[in-house]
Amino acid sequence: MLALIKRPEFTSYDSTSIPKLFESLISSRDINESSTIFFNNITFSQVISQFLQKLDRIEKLEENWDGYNAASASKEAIQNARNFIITHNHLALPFYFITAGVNGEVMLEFNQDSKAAELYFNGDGSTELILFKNDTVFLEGELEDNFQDLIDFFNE
Amino acid sequence: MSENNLEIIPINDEDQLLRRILHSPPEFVIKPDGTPSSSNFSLRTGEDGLSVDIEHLTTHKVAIKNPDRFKLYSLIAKDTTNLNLKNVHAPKEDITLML
Repeated sequence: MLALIKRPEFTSYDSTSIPKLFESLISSRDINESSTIFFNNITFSQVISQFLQKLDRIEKLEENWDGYNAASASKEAIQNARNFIITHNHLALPFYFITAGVNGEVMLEFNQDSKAAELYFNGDGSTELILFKNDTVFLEGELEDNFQDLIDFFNE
Repeated sequence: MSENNLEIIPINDEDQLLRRILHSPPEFVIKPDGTPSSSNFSLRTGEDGLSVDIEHLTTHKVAIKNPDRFKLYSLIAKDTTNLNLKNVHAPKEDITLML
């Protein structure tokens, strides 16, 4: 079994971000640009909506946003994080936190009881996945090689 | 003396170290449980340590830089040495210590 399907409370996504959502759907799902898409049918859980809205704000960060010369968020990192959230929002992953990193990356955090995971979307397009059990590193690798491990980790 | 001719001082275990954390909006880097995200303590590419201020060498007003954007967090130096990290005084114009 890949994952459980959650039945969350649904919330509409902020309409001001629909163009970005459209771009993500086009690129991530191979939808023809001439297709007609009815955005009213797109709903996300409250936490996913909040993540996508925060991603919009992360995108607007300027250099030195942390006061210690942090880089602004990379466009590729933003796009890859957005694609991941949209594509996998229905999976039983405990989405917990999203933030920017100092080198332009975007970090997604999952948290459930004694388990946690940090997923980094780096500015060069690479990813890093770290799984923690009781605050100790359990697995470290790239998302591409360990996606199933991420799912299994929170559903075993 | 440092490269920029500033005096190097020893860091004592009881010294308080200060780090600015973005706090506006509050949930940006502070997680729902109230702890700062690990991204606050990541190193920039090319950095060899995390920049902090030594409390007794500055004032909170100076260290916080912009109280509308940041809050100032402190930890005692021995907390980092207990993690086998070195506290090294590496004075810069506006940064005074690298962990």
